[in-house]
Amino acid sequence: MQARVTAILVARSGVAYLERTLSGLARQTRQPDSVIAVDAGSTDNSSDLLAASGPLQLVSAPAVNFGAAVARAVQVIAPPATDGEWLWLLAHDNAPAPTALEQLLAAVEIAPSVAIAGPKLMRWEQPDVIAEFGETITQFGASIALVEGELDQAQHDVQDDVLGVAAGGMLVRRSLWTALGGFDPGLPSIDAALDFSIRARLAGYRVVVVPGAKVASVGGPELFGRRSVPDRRRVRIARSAQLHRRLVYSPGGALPFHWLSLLPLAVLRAAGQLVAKRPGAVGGEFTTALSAAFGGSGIGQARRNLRANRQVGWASIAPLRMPPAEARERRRQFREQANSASTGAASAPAAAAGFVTHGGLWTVLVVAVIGVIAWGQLLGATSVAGGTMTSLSATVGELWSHVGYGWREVGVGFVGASDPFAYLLAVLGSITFWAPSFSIVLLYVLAMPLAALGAWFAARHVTTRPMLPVLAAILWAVAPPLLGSMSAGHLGAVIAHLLLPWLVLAGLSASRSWAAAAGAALLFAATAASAPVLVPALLLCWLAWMVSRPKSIHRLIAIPFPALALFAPLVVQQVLRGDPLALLAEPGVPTAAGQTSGLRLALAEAGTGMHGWTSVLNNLSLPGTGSAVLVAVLLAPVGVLAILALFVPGSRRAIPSMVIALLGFATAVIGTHIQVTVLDGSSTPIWAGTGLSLFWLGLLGSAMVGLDALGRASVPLGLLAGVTSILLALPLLGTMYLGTAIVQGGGRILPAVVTAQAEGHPNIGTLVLTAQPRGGLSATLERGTGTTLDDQSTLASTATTLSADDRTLARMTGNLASHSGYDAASDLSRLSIGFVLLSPANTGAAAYARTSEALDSNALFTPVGATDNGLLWRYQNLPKTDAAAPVGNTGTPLGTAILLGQAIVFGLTLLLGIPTARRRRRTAVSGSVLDGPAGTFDEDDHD
Amino acid sequence: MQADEQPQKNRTRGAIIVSARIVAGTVGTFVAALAIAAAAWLPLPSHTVTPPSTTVTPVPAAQQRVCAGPLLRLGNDSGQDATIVSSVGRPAVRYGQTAGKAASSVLSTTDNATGVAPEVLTLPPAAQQATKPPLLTGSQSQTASTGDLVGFATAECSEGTSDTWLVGGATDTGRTTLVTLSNPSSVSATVSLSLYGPSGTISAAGSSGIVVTPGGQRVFSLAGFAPGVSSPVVRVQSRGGQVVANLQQSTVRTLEPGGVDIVGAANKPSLTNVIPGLVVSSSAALSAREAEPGYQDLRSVIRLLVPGTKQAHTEISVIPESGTGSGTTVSVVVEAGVVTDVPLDSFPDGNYSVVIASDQPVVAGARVSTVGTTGQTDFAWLAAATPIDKQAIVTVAPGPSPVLHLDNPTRKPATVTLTSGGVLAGTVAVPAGRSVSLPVSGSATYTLGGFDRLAVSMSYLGDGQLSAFSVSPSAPASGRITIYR
Repeated sequence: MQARVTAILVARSGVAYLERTLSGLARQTRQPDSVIAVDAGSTDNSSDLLAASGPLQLVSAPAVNFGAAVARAVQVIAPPATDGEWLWLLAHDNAPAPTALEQLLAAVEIAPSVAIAGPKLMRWEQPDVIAEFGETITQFGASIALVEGELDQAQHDVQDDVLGVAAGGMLVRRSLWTALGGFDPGLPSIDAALDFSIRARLAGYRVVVVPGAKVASVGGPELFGRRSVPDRRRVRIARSAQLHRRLVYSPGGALPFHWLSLLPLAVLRAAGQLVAKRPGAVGGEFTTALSAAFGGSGIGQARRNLRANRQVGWASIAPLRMPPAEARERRRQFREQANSASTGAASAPAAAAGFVTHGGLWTVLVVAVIGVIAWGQLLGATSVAGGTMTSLSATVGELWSHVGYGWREVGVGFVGASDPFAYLLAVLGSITFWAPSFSIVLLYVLAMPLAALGAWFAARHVTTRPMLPVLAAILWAVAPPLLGSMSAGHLGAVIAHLLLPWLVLAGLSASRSWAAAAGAALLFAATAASAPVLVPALLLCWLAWMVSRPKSIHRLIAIPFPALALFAPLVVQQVLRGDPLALLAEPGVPTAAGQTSGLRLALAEAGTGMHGWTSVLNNLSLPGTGSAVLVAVLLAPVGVLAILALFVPGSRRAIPSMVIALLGFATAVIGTHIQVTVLDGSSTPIWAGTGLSLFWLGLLGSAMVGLDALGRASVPLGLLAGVTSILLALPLLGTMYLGTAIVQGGGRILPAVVTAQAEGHPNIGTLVLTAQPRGGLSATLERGTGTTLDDQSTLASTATTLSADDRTLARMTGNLASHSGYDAASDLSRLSIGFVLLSPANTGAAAYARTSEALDSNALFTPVGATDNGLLWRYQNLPKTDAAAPVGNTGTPLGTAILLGQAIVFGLTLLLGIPTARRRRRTAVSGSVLDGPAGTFDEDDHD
Repeated sequence: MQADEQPQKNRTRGAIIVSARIVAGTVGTFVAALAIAAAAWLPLPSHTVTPPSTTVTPVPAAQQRVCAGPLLRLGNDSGQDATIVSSVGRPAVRYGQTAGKAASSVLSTTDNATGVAPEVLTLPPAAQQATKPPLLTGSQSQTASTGDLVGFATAECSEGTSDTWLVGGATDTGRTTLVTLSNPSSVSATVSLSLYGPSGTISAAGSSGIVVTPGGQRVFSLAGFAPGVSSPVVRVQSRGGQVVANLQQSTVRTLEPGGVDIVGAANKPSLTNVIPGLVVSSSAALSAREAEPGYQDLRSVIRLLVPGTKQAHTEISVIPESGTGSGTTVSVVVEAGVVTDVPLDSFPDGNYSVVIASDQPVVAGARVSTVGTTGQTDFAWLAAATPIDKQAIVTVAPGPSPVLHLDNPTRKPATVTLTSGGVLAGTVAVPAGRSVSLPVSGSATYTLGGFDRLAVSMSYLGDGQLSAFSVSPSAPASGRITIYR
């Protein structure tokens, strides 16, 4: 029986390749009996070229995929007369070798069971390299090329039976083509031919590759009609095809399970993509899963088609699948190739200081000893109180129930978004899960060594001299802003100080590493949460970094996202309330900040008392006014070094540091002019210590650059700066011993009587009254053992209006503080107030005597007497009611949605932040001296 | 050729880099200096929120005043058993108010063995939120002529307080002083007494932690705490319920009754104290009797105490009422913590106003005496009056020739209107810094208006009968108060 071959040449905008393809076709030793040319919506003159070649017929089709174009062509040819009719499918970039068709026909003619024969696809530019030679699927149905990118040394020429072949150059029996209905329309490019081959196999035919038939090919089927396909898109098409085939091939019973597993698998695979640092592929996982599940890509039609033509079982093709062991081996080889390709570029590690070998460890240990001496008194306490601090909730569960959108148990309470700081506290408290408040104690004792550790690693990143990180570590650990914030009890400022060096480190590496970018994003969120006032300055730094690294913008752009997720609910609420500046308010217990001035801020002092020197000088009977001069002298070495760095070689690296210092100083100054936190009837400015930490960071960075460039002179200058800074810090280090610290150990917010009562009645309220020196009375409500630190809300502390409950409370308070005919019993019961506490502050104020007298003569109350926390009265007739469960953070759809959204953002960031490519990462960090900031601000050559 | 160009190029490049660094450094230094200068001296705009606050007007409460109660003596009806206290007769109580209807009741318990308890006057709060809270007033008078108690005594019914200064009394031979503590409130009061004498603070067992039950009256003999003190001052402080405290002094000289009077609360320690209505009568007869032994305390005295720790330089001015004379001024140095009785030289009969100016806060009172035609003596204690603002009300308990004394301590003359029962009863001009007196009718209630600030007292003078009380303002405890969140 004489075979009859119809060649179908499909072209779409393929002028560049078409000429070679047409000439290859023309030089066939066995000419096809007829040639049908299909122009699938070309935008160039492919059509003319096709017409000039003189095909039997030229079909013009709209822009359809390869399979559909072939189907068009098959429609126009005469119906098959015999079973010996063959179709030879060629795309415009499939230039066949002269003997290609002859070899293919030879293979099919000797074996009547063969219905599909595929050529050996060679690379277009490298005719001796195999582009593809047969396809198969793994145990799980993933498609895989049998041979790919190998030099053709006839090593694969023994193969013939395969599971599938590529579309380009495929010789297929026409009757089979018609019976199977051509390529599956649900598979536009990738896997279309493989699927067709599998269906042919299941219909009982054989599929072979013919080593002697060579056809050149430019690329995979996805490239048909396109100049290039981005990697992301290719992966998506392949995944989509795999899912489509899975749903088509699965047994009917398993179909629902496959369908249901689509989305969970997408989530898992997306996580995997993040861990593998391919965040671009995450979206594809979901879109492919969704389109497979709901896209209606003709799965039903395809399944019917498959069922109608299946003659043999799946078991018959099992031997043709790739064995799992071989698949693993193939994947391993692939990874190694990728790794060697990526590390090849940056392979010259520079000698960076070693943590152990160059004194980093010893510095941290010595600073740790100093830290324990300075703050160790707190170790006996269960929590730290004073300033913005008080105890945390008693259990980890409570801590986490205070994050997100829900009931805020501060004052009369309200439903609103938690401060982002609450999340940070929940994380901190979870570390010491047996006693959450103890984490703050530990943080205080370990703050100095932790600061030293962070500064050491950050400094190693920007300097080459091994001793400079040691100096930076010491200067950062005894930084006046850190010690000032610790002494005054500004927890957020302390945490921000500890995080800043790590943020710098991660931020600088973020331009090259996904893991570092994710780390920077998390650190940014944590820093922003602990010190919202830093956010504008940090955002400016981020913008500047993106401008200077436009090529890495895709890694840098998402750094503020986790912070945004944390802040979004609060931002919405504050903006709706009309005071966006209140977002900058310091989180924690509202606390009064002392008067300060621009000059004091320039001396790196956020509080009062000149870093403790005023009282020291006073104790030594020296004029306290000299303290400012003394502090200025002690600070001078660091300041002068920072300025000097602008004049020495390498000054281009000092400029950004000095800009950061300027931003920090501006933050501190502006913060003192933003008075949004309301405390006892007056508004207090934002603590300047956080801005000063940034200020100090910039100064140190610049000073390090200067010392780096100074050569031998850097040793005495560095020593001088270190010694003066330690001297400066002495009064602040001794603050626990001098009695000047505002912080103290101990966690009881309310008198013991109340605490004892709250054991059995956790909702019992205590009205805390404080007489104000200029008249009036401030009233706050504490529940149970007192409002914990994680309960605090800047929404409450920056509120400028009174809620209805606030008004009730105020009305009742005003009457309780007066000789009044008001019957407070119903209010007390409604607000569940069991105690009234008159704070011992301002006992001289008129309101103190008035309140004390009025409460004494009020028959509703029994005086309990004087306690450490003030005068206490008990309301006897409080009915013991079970508190209505307040709105939890998952109690409202909105609250749940917020938590879920934040969990997703942080989960993704964490996955992306897990350092996976170990070798790459190491070279990335150590290569930083070449490619890091030092590279950004290229060193001036020595002149 | 190329070898020559290279160093040349390098030199040029080096020079450019060095000058760039100098420019950068100079600019950087300048910016740093500018930033610090701007922060230090530039007036930067501030964003300051207004703290939320609300001003609460307390719901008016029922006002209460407690009268001093019947005249008391140690011992029972027959004068035996000196450990108990019994009363003699009942006082005549009169009361009035500016609005509403006051009611009278009696305290539920008393230490008085006779069982006659002091009267409690209660004025319910105004039904509507009145622009001015209503005022309640009341006073009592009693004439005693049984046994040792002979004389005429009056007292104002007063509001409970947590801190009362009582300037008066004596516990030396023949002088009996009783402390009465009344607690009209609904919570028990814990009272402590601080006692001062001519030799300083007197510490006495049992003078603190005195519990006065709600609606109860306690009576103590001052001699129990401070025996033999000729010039005591008592400070009564209470926690819990607020109390009304009075002293009742009766004098017996050997066997001759020498009068009785009730001491009311004095103005709190102040730099200026005014005692209006010092009545000097029968001065000739008094001078004669004063010379007799045991009769020295017929002399008029001003009693002063500096509660603080620094001695006070005081100027005591005794200014005749309605008169033209500028009065007499004495300068006295008063030691801290020591009660000082300043005797007043004999003044002609008439009404005087005493103004005590001091450089340290002092409390003050005055004692005056009279001798009747039969030789019967009586005395009266006057307390420094607490000034009253804008509106005053006084009820005149019945008694011999009641006289109302008005002292204007301000620098602005006032024309005071008196209304009684809604009818204008008179108008009197009170020049700045002067005082006037005008006779009033017994059992009537007068509302005083048309002034900024007045010190007000009442005096009664009969034949061998003398008594006085100063009029106290309503306690200002129920004013508006600002509550901050």
